Amino acid sequence: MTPLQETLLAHAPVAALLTLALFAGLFAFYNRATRRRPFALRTIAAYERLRTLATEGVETGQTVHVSLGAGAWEQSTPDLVAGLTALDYVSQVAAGAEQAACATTGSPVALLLAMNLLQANDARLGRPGGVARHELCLYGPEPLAYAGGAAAEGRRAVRAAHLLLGRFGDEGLWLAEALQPGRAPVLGGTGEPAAVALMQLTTEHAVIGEDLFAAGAYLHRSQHLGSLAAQDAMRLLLAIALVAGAILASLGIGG
Amino acid sequence: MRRVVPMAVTLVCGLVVLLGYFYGGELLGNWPNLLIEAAAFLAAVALIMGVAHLASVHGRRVLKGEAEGGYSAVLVIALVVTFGIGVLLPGSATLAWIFDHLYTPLQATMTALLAFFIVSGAYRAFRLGRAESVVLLVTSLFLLLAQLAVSQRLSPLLPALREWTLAVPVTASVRGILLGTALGTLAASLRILVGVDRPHAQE
Repeated sequence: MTPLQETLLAHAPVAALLTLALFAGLFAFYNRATRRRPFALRTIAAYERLRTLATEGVETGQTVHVSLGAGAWEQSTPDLVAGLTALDYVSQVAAGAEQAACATTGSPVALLLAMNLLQANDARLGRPGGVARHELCLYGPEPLAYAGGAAAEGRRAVRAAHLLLGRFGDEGLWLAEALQPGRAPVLGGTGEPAAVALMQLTTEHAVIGEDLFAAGAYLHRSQHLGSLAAQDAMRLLLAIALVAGAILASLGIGG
Repeated sequence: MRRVVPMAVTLVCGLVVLLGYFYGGELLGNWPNLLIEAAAFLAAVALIMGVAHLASVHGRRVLKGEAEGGYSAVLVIALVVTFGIGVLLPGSATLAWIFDHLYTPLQATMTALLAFFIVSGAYRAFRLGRAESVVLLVTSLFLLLAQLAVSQRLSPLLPALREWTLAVPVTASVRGILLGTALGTLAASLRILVGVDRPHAQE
Protein backbone atom coordinates (compact mmCIF):
# COMPACT_ATOMS: atom_id res chain seq x y z
CA MET A 1 0.00 0.00 0.00
CA THR A 2 1.37 3.42 -0.96
CA PRO A 3 1.71 6.25 1.61
CA LEU A 4 -1.09 8.15 -0.16
CA GLN A 5 -3.46 5.18 0.09
CA GLU A 6 -2.53 4.70 3.77
CA THR A 7 -3.25 8.37 4.50
CA LEU A 8 -6.59 8.19 2.67
CA LEU A 9 -7.62 5.03 4.55
CA ALA A 10 -6.63 6.54 7.91
CA HIS A 11 -8.87 9.52 7.23
CA ALA A 12 -11.76 7.57 5.69
CA PRO A 13 -14.35 8.67 8.31
CA VAL A 14 -13.45 12.34 7.78
CA ALA A 15 -13.64 11.88 4.00
CA ALA A 16 -17.02 10.14 4.31
CA LEU A 17 -18.40 12.90 6.53
CA LEU A 18 -17.08 15.57 4.15
CA THR A 19 -18.75 13.77 1.22
CA LEU A 20 -21.97 13.64 3.20
CA ALA A 21 -21.69 17.33 4.06
CA LEU A 22 -21.08 18.14 0.40
CA PHE A 23 -24.13 16.12 -0.57
CA ALA A 24 -26.21 17.89 2.10
CA GLY A 25 -24.98 21.29 0.81
CA LEU A 26 -25.87 20.41 -2.77
CA PHE A 27 -29.21 19.08 -1.58
CA ALA A 28 -30.03 22.35 0.22
CA PHE A 29 -28.93 24.42 -2.79
CA TYR A 30 -30.93 22.45 -5.36
CA ASN A 31 -33.92 22.18 -3.05
CA ARG A 32 -34.26 25.96 -3.10
CA ALA A 33 -33.42 26.26 -6.79
CA THR A 34 -35.92 23.63 -8.01
CA ARG A 35 -38.73 25.15 -5.96
CA ARG A 36 -38.37 28.33 -7.98
CA ARG A 37 -37.68 26.65 -11.30
CA PRO A 38 -38.45 22.90 -11.66
CA PHE A 39 -36.43 21.15 -14.36
CA ALA A 40 -37.58 18.66 -16.99
CA LEU A 41 -37.00 14.98 -16.28
CA ARG A 42 -35.83 12.34 -18.73
CA THR A 43 -38.30 9.51 -19.22
CA ILE A 44 -38.19 6.42 -17.01
CA ALA A 45 -40.38 3.87 -18.80
CA ALA A 46 -41.47 2.01 -15.65
CA TYR A 47 -42.83 5.13 -13.94
CA GLU A 48 -44.52 6.37 -17.12
CA ARG A 49 -46.20 2.99 -17.53
CA LEU A 50 -47.23 2.94 -13.87
CA ARG A 51 -48.94 6.31 -14.22
CA THR A 52 -50.86 5.07 -17.27
CA LEU A 53 -51.83 1.77 -15.66
CA ALA A 54 -52.91 3.36 -12.38
CA THR A 55 -55.18 5.77 -14.27
CA GLU A 56 -56.56 2.97 -16.47
CA GLY A 57 -57.20 0.98 -13.29
CA VAL A 58 -59.46 3.75 -12.01
CA GLU A 59 -61.49 3.54 -15.22
CA THR A 60 -61.75 -0.26 -15.23
CA GLY A 61 -62.20 -0.64 -11.47
CA GLN A 62 -59.00 -2.65 -11.10
CA THR A 63 -56.30 -1.91 -8.54
CA VAL A 64 -52.53 -1.97 -8.87
CA HIS A 65 -50.96 -4.61 -6.62
CA VAL A 66 -47.87 -3.13 -4.96
CA SER A 67 -45.34 -5.64 -3.66
CA LEU A 68 -42.89 -4.08 -1.18
CA GLY A 69 -40.49 -7.04 -0.97
CA ALA A 70 -39.33 -9.19 1.89
CA GLY A 71 -36.03 -7.71 3.01
CA ALA A 72 -35.26 -7.29 6.69
CA TRP A 73 -35.91 -3.71 7.83
CA GLU A 74 -32.28 -2.91 8.62
CA GLN A 75 -31.10 -3.91 5.14
CA SER A 76 -33.91 -2.63 3.01
CA THR A 77 -34.95 0.78 4.36
CA PRO A 78 -34.10 2.87 1.24
CA ASP A 79 -35.71 0.34 -1.12
CA LEU A 80 -38.71 0.16 1.17
CA VAL A 81 -39.03 3.96 1.16
CA ALA A 82 -39.19 3.86 -2.66
CA GLY A 83 -41.87 1.17 -2.53
CA LEU A 84 -43.92 3.14 0.00
CA THR A 85 -43.68 6.24 -2.18
CA ALA A 86 -45.10 4.27 -5.12
CA LEU A 87 -47.82 2.81 -2.88
CA ASP A 88 -48.71 6.34 -1.78
CA TYR A 89 -49.09 7.41 -5.42
CA VAL A 90 -51.12 4.36 -6.42
CA SER A 91 -53.42 4.63 -3.39
CA GLN A 92 -54.00 8.35 -4.04
CA VAL A 93 -54.98 7.67 -7.65
CA ALA A 94 -57.22 4.77 -6.57
CA ALA A 95 -58.83 6.88 -3.86
CA GLY A 96 -60.22 9.16 -6.59
CA ALA A 97 -62.53 6.28 -7.56
CA GLU A 98 -63.04 5.13 -3.95
CA GLN A 99 -60.98 2.02 -4.68
CA ALA A 100 -59.05 0.19 -1.98
CA ALA A 101 -55.29 -0.18 -2.24
CA CYS A 102 -53.63 -3.58 -2.52
CA ALA A 103 -50.15 -4.17 -1.10
CA THR A 104 -48.11 -7.11 0.16
CA THR A 105 -44.91 -7.16 2.18
CA GLY A 106 -42.69 -9.60 4.00
CA SER A 107 -41.55 -7.08 6.58
CA PRO A 108 -43.76 -6.32 9.59
CA VAL A 109 -42.20 -2.85 9.86
CA ALA A 110 -43.20 -2.18 6.25
CA LEU A 111 -46.72 -3.39 7.03
CA LEU A 112 -47.09 -0.86 9.85
CA LEU A 113 -45.66 1.94 7.71
CA ALA A 114 -48.01 1.06 4.84
CA MET A 115 -50.97 0.99 7.25
CA ASN A 116 -49.98 4.40 8.57
CA LEU A 117 -49.64 5.76 5.03
CA LEU A 118 -53.05 4.50 3.90
CA GLN A 119 -54.70 5.72 7.11
CA ALA A 120 -53.17 9.18 6.65
CA ASN A 121 -54.39 9.28 3.02
CA ASP A 122 -57.90 8.15 4.02
CA ALA A 123 -58.04 10.73 6.82
CA ARG A 124 -56.95 13.50 4.47
CA LEU A 125 -59.57 12.55 1.89
CA GLY A 126 -62.25 11.97 4.55
CA ARG A 127 -62.78 8.32 3.61
CA PRO A 128 -64.36 6.16 6.32
CA GLY A 129 -63.76 2.43 6.81
CA GLY A 130 -60.28 2.43 8.29
CA VAL A 131 -57.31 0.46 7.07
CA ALA A 132 -59.34 -2.79 6.98
CA ARG A 133 -60.97 -1.71 3.70
CA HIS A 134 -57.58 -2.00 1.97
CA GLU A 135 -56.03 -5.30 0.90
CA LEU A 136 -52.87 -5.11 2.97
CA CYS A 137 -51.11 -8.39 3.71
CA LEU A 138 -47.97 -9.56 5.47
CA TYR A 139 -46.28 -12.72 4.18
CA GLY A 140 -42.83 -13.93 5.05
CA PRO A 141 -40.33 -12.64 6.20
CA GLU A 142 -38.59 -15.58 4.50
CA PRO A 143 -38.20 -14.39 0.85
CA LEU A 144 -39.66 -17.37 -1.02
CA ALA A 145 -42.49 -17.81 1.48
CA TYR A 146 -43.28 -14.16 0.92
CA ALA A 147 -43.20 -14.62 -2.85
CA GLY A 148 -45.67 -17.52 -2.58
CA GLY A 149 -48.08 -15.48 -0.47
CA ALA A 150 -47.73 -12.32 -2.56
CA ALA A 151 -48.34 -14.28 -5.79
CA ALA A 152 -51.57 -15.72 -4.37
CA GLU A 153 -52.65 -12.29 -3.12
CA GLY A 154 -51.87 -10.65 -6.45
CA ARG A 155 -54.00 -13.18 -8.29
CA ARG A 156 -57.01 -13.00 -5.97
CA ALA A 157 -58.59 -10.47 -8.32
CA VAL A 158 -58.01 -9.06 -11.79
CA ARG A 159 -55.36 -6.35 -11.31
CA ALA A 160 -54.49 -3.32 -13.39
CA ALA A 161 -50.81 -4.12 -12.85
CA HIS A 162 -48.34 -5.61 -10.42
CA LEU A 163 -45.57 -3.35 -9.16
CA LEU A 164 -42.61 -5.04 -7.46
CA LEU A 165 -40.73 -2.16 -5.86
CA GLY A 166 -38.53 -2.75 -2.80
CA ARG A 167 -35.79 -5.14 -1.71
CA PHE A 168 -35.89 -8.29 -3.82
CA GLY A 169 -33.46 -11.11 -4.44
CA ASP A 170 -34.18 -14.26 -6.47
CA GLU A 171 -37.73 -14.24 -5.16
CA GLY A 172 -38.38 -11.16 -7.34
CA LEU A 173 -38.05 -13.36 -10.44
CA TRP A 174 -40.17 -16.08 -8.81
CA LEU A 175 -42.92 -13.61 -7.95
CA ALA A 176 -42.88 -11.85 -11.33
CA GLU A 177 -43.13 -15.15 -13.19
CA ALA A 178 -45.84 -16.50 -10.89
CA LEU A 179 -47.88 -13.35 -11.57
CA GLN A 180 -47.52 -13.57 -15.38
CA PRO A 181 -50.55 -15.81 -16.07
CA GLY A 182 -52.78 -13.04 -14.65
CA ARG A 183 -52.15 -11.06 -17.88
CA ALA A 184 -51.68 -7.83 -15.92
CA PRO A 185 -48.39 -6.10 -16.73
CA VAL A 186 -45.62 -6.61 -14.17
CA LEU A 187 -43.26 -3.70 -13.40
CA GLY A 188 -40.30 -3.99 -11.06
CA GLY A 189 -37.33 -2.37 -9.40
CA THR A 190 -34.80 -3.07 -6.69
CA GLY A 191 -31.40 -1.90 -5.52
CA GLU A 192 -29.83 -5.38 -5.72
CA PRO A 193 -27.71 -5.59 -8.92
CA ALA A 194 -28.15 -9.36 -9.37
CA ALA A 195 -31.90 -9.18 -8.84
CA VAL A 196 -32.21 -6.23 -11.24
CA ALA A 197 -30.85 -8.41 -14.07
CA LEU A 198 -33.51 -11.02 -13.34
CA MET A 199 -36.22 -8.38 -13.13
CA GLN A 200 -35.09 -6.87 -16.42
CA LEU A 201 -35.64 -10.29 -17.94
CA THR A 202 -39.07 -11.01 -16.59
CA THR A 203 -40.88 -7.69 -16.09
CA GLU A 204 -42.26 -5.34 -18.71
CA HIS A 205 -40.13 -2.47 -17.39
CA ALA A 206 -37.59 -2.54 -14.56
CA VAL A 207 -36.17 0.39 -12.58
CA ILE A 208 -32.40 0.12 -12.23
CA GLY A 209 -30.03 1.52 -9.60
CA GLU A 210 -30.58 5.12 -8.52
CA ASP A 211 -33.78 5.39 -10.63
CA LEU A 212 -35.44 3.41 -7.86
CA PHE A 213 -35.05 6.35 -5.49
CA ALA A 214 -36.46 8.82 -8.00
CA ALA A 215 -39.98 7.37 -7.65
CA GLY A 216 -41.29 10.39 -5.73
CA ALA A 217 -39.95 12.99 -8.16
CA TYR A 218 -41.38 11.10 -11.14
CA LEU A 219 -44.75 10.18 -9.64
CA HIS A 220 -46.21 12.87 -7.42
CA ARG A 221 -43.74 14.50 -5.06
CA SER A 222 -42.14 17.46 -6.79
CA GLN A 223 -40.28 18.32 -3.56
CA HIS A 224 -37.97 15.38 -4.37
CA LEU A 225 -36.59 17.19 -7.42
CA GLY A 226 -33.94 18.96 -5.34
CA SER A 227 -32.46 15.73 -4.03
CA LEU A 228 -32.54 14.29 -7.55
CA ALA A 229 -30.52 17.25 -8.85
CA ALA A 230 -28.06 16.88 -5.94
CA GLN A 231 -27.77 13.18 -6.77
CA ASP A 232 -26.91 14.02 -10.37
CA ALA A 233 -24.33 16.62 -9.32
CA MET A 234 -22.69 14.13 -6.95
CA ARG A 235 -22.63 11.53 -9.71
CA LEU A 236 -20.86 13.99 -11.98
CA LEU A 237 -18.28 14.76 -9.26
CA LEU A 238 -17.81 11.04 -8.65
CA ALA A 239 -17.28 10.38 -12.36
CA ILE A 240 -14.69 13.18 -12.53
CA ALA A 241 -12.94 11.77 -9.42
CA LEU A 242 -12.88 8.26 -10.93
CA VAL A 243 -11.45 9.46 -14.23
CA ALA A 244 -8.88 11.65 -12.44
CA GLY A 245 -7.92 8.71 -10.20
CA ALA A 246 -7.52 6.43 -13.20
CA ILE A 247 -5.31 8.99 -15.00
CA LEU A 248 -3.16 9.57 -11.89
CA ALA A 249 -2.79 5.81 -11.33
CA SER A 250 -1.85 5.32 -15.01
CA LEU A 251 0.82 8.01 -14.67
CA GLY A 252 2.13 6.27 -11.55
CA ILE A 253 1.21 9.15 -9.24
CA GLY A 254 0.03 7.96 -5.83
CA GLY A 255 -0.74 4.47 -7.17
CA MET B 1 -46.33 20.12 16.77
CA ARG B 2 -47.43 16.71 15.41
CA ARG B 3 -45.09 17.24 12.47
CA VAL B 4 -42.16 18.93 14.21
CA VAL B 5 -41.64 16.44 17.07
CA PRO B 6 -41.34 13.29 14.88
CA MET B 7 -39.05 15.22 12.51
CA ALA B 8 -36.82 16.34 15.40
CA VAL B 9 -36.67 12.80 16.83
CA THR B 10 -35.81 11.41 13.37
CA LEU B 11 -33.08 14.02 12.86
CA VAL B 12 -31.45 13.53 16.28
CA CYS B 13 -31.62 9.70 16.17
CA GLY B 14 -30.33 9.65 12.58
CA LEU B 15 -27.39 11.93 13.34
CA VAL B 16 -26.45 10.05 16.53
CA VAL B 17 -26.44 6.68 14.74
CA LEU B 18 -24.56 8.14 11.75
CA LEU B 19 -21.84 9.74 13.88
CA GLY B 20 -21.68 6.58 16.00
CA TYR B 21 -20.96 4.60 12.83
CA PHE B 22 -17.90 6.74 12.08
CA TYR B 23 -16.61 7.51 15.56
CA GLY B 24 -18.12 4.73 17.72
CA GLY B 25 -17.80 5.08 21.47
CA GLU B 26 -15.22 7.89 21.34
CA LEU B 27 -17.76 10.62 20.79
CA LEU B 28 -21.21 9.42 21.79
CA GLY B 29 -20.67 6.56 24.24
CA ASN B 30 -23.25 3.81 24.02
CA TRP B 31 -26.06 5.98 22.61
CA PRO B 32 -25.87 4.76 18.99
CA ASN B 33 -26.04 1.10 20.06
CA LEU B 34 -28.88 1.89 22.42
CA LEU B 35 -30.89 3.49 19.61
CA ILE B 36 -30.22 0.58 17.26
CA GLU B 37 -31.34 -1.88 19.96
CA ALA B 38 -34.47 0.18 20.55
CA ALA B 39 -35.24 0.01 16.81
CA ALA B 40 -34.72 -3.77 16.86
CA PHE B 41 -37.08 -4.01 19.83
CA LEU B 42 -39.72 -1.97 17.99
CA ALA B 43 -39.30 -4.24 14.95
CA ALA B 44 -39.96 -7.26 17.18
CA VAL B 45 -43.16 -5.63 18.46
CA ALA B 46 -44.08 -4.91 14.83
CA LEU B 47 -43.65 -8.63 14.07
CA ILE B 48 -46.20 -9.53 16.78
CA MET B 49 -48.63 -6.97 15.37
CA GLY B 50 -47.95 -8.24 11.84
CA VAL B 51 -48.71 -11.83 12.80
CA ALA B 52 -51.95 -10.70 14.50
CA HIS B 53 -52.89 -8.79 11.33
CA LEU B 54 -52.10 -11.83 9.16
CA ALA B 55 -54.26 -14.06 11.36
CA SER B 56 -57.14 -11.57 11.35
CA VAL B 57 -57.07 -11.06 7.53
CA HIS B 58 -57.06 -14.78 6.77
CA GLY B 59 -59.41 -15.63 9.64
CA ARG B 60 -61.95 -13.22 8.12
CA ARG B 61 -61.56 -14.86 4.72
CA VAL B 62 -62.22 -18.31 6.22
CA LEU B 63 -65.27 -17.06 8.11
CA LYS B 64 -66.66 -15.34 4.99
CA GLY B 65 -66.27 -18.62 3.08
CA GLU B 66 -64.34 -16.99 0.23
CA ALA B 67 -63.49 -19.06 -2.85
CA GLU B 68 -59.85 -19.49 -1.86
CA GLY B 69 -60.64 -19.60 1.85
CA GLY B 70 -59.15 -23.12 2.03
CA TYR B 71 -55.65 -21.70 1.55
CA SER B 72 -56.32 -19.16 4.28
CA ALA B 73 -57.49 -21.97 6.58
CA VAL B 74 -54.26 -23.91 5.95
CA LEU B 75 -52.26 -20.75 6.68
CA VAL B 76 -54.07 -20.01 9.95
CA ILE B 77 -53.87 -23.66 11.14
CA ALA B 78 -50.14 -23.86 10.26
CA LEU B 79 -49.53 -20.55 12.03
CA VAL B 80 -51.37 -21.58 15.20
CA VAL B 81 -49.82 -25.08 15.34
CA THR B 82 -46.23 -23.90 14.72
CA PHE B 83 -46.62 -20.97 17.13
CA GLY B 84 -48.14 -23.24 19.79
CA ILE B 85 -45.41 -25.87 19.51
CA GLY B 86 -42.72 -23.16 19.43
CA VAL B 87 -44.04 -21.61 22.65
CA LEU B 88 -44.95 -24.81 24.53
CA LEU B 89 -42.10 -27.05 23.33
CA PRO B 90 -39.22 -24.75 22.33
CA GLY B 91 -36.33 -26.59 20.70
CA SER B 92 -38.27 -29.87 20.68
CA ALA B 93 -37.99 -32.68 18.12
CA THR B 94 -41.54 -31.90 16.93
CA LEU B 95 -40.55 -28.35 16.04
CA ALA B 96 -37.42 -29.62 14.29
CA TRP B 97 -39.59 -32.14 12.38
CA ILE B 98 -41.84 -29.34 11.10
CA PHE B 99 -38.82 -27.45 9.77
CA ASP B 100 -36.99 -30.52 8.39
CA HIS B 101 -39.95 -32.29 6.80
CA LEU B 102 -42.34 -29.50 5.85
CA TYR B 103 -40.62 -26.12 5.69
CA THR B 104 -37.29 -27.11 4.11
CA PRO B 105 -38.77 -29.32 1.32
CA LEU B 106 -41.33 -26.64 0.46
CA GLN B 107 -38.60 -24.02 0.27
CA ALA B 108 -36.43 -26.34 -1.85
CA THR B 109 -39.37 -26.90 -4.22
CA MET B 110 -39.81 -23.18 -4.71
CA THR B 111 -36.06 -22.66 -5.22
CA ALA B 112 -36.02 -25.45 -7.83
CA LEU B 113 -38.77 -23.65 -9.75
CA LEU B 114 -36.46 -20.65 -10.16
CA ALA B 115 -34.45 -22.42 -12.89
CA PHE B 116 -37.63 -22.99 -14.95
CA PHE B 117 -38.77 -19.44 -14.32
CA ILE B 118 -35.44 -18.06 -15.60
CA VAL B 119 -35.85 -20.07 -18.80
CA SER B 120 -39.50 -19.05 -19.30
CA GLY B 121 -38.66 -15.40 -18.55
CA ALA B 122 -35.74 -15.46 -21.00
CA TYR B 123 -37.90 -17.12 -23.68
CA ARG B 124 -40.66 -14.53 -23.30
CA ALA B 125 -38.20 -11.63 -23.27
CA PHE B 126 -36.47 -12.98 -26.36
CA ARG B 127 -39.80 -13.29 -28.18
CA LEU B 128 -40.54 -9.66 -27.37
CA GLY B 129 -37.36 -8.81 -29.29
CA ARG B 130 -36.04 -6.13 -26.98
CA ALA B 131 -32.41 -5.23 -27.63
CA GLU B 132 -31.37 -5.67 -24.00
CA SER B 133 -33.03 -9.12 -23.89
CA VAL B 134 -31.01 -10.19 -26.90
CA VAL B 135 -27.79 -8.94 -25.27
CA LEU B 136 -28.70 -10.76 -22.04
CA LEU B 137 -29.48 -14.00 -23.81
CA VAL B 138 -26.39 -13.95 -26.05
CA THR B 139 -24.12 -13.12 -23.08
CA SER B 140 -25.67 -15.86 -20.94
CA LEU B 141 -25.29 -18.46 -23.68
CA PHE B 142 -21.73 -17.36 -24.37
CA LEU B 143 -20.75 -17.55 -20.68
CA LEU B 144 -22.35 -20.99 -20.35
CA LEU B 145 -20.50 -22.21 -23.43
CA ALA B 146 -17.19 -20.69 -22.37
CA GLN B 147 -17.46 -22.37 -18.97
CA LEU B 148 -17.50 -25.85 -20.53
CA ALA B 149 -14.29 -27.89 -20.43
CA VAL B 150 -14.33 -28.27 -24.23
CA SER B 151 -14.37 -24.50 -24.80
CA GLN B 152 -10.55 -24.50 -24.75
CA ARG B 153 -10.55 -26.95 -27.65
CA LEU B 154 -13.11 -24.97 -29.64
CA SER B 155 -11.00 -21.86 -29.40
CA PRO B 156 -8.23 -20.87 -26.98
CA LEU B 157 -9.67 -17.37 -27.05
CA LEU B 158 -12.99 -18.41 -25.44
CA PRO B 159 -11.79 -18.75 -21.79
CA ALA B 160 -9.87 -15.47 -22.07
CA LEU B 161 -12.91 -13.74 -23.55
CA ARG B 162 -15.06 -15.12 -20.73
CA GLU B 163 -12.62 -13.77 -18.13
CA TRP B 164 -12.62 -10.39 -19.87
CA THR B 165 -16.44 -10.29 -20.01
CA LEU B 166 -16.70 -10.97 -16.29
CA ALA B 167 -13.87 -8.65 -15.28
CA VAL B 168 -14.68 -5.64 -17.47
CA PRO B 169 -18.30 -5.17 -18.72
CA VAL B 170 -20.01 -7.16 -15.94
CA THR B 171 -17.95 -5.68 -13.07
CA ALA B 172 -18.26 -2.18 -14.55
CA SER B 173 -22.06 -2.53 -14.78
CA VAL B 174 -22.38 -3.87 -11.23
CA ARG B 175 -20.18 -1.08 -9.87
CA GLY B 176 -22.19 1.50 -11.80
CA ILE B 177 -25.42 0.16 -10.30
CA LEU B 178 -23.89 0.02 -6.81
CA LEU B 179 -22.58 3.60 -7.02
CA GLY B 180 -25.95 4.82 -8.27
CA THR B 181 -27.75 2.92 -5.54
CA ALA B 182 -25.41 4.35 -2.90
CA LEU B 183 -26.06 7.91 -4.12
CA GLY B 184 -29.80 7.23 -4.25
CA THR B 185 -29.69 5.83 -0.71
CA LEU B 186 -27.86 8.94 0.48
CA ALA B 187 -30.43 11.19 -1.19
CA ALA B 188 -33.37 9.22 0.26
CA SER B 189 -31.81 9.26 3.75
CA LEU B 190 -31.12 13.00 3.61
CA ARG B 191 -34.69 13.68 2.50
CA ILE B 192 -35.98 11.84 5.57
CA LEU B 193 -33.40 13.35 7.94
CA VAL B 194 -34.22 16.94 6.99
CA GLY B 195 -37.96 16.28 6.86
CA VAL B 196 -38.49 16.85 3.12
CA ASP B 197 -39.91 13.33 2.87
CA ARG B 198 -42.14 11.38 5.22
CA PRO B 199 -42.77 8.21 3.21
CA HIS B 200 -44.97 6.62 5.85
CA ALA B 201 -47.38 9.58 6.23
CA GLN B 202 -47.15 12.22 3.55
CA GLU B 203 -48.98 15.47 4.27
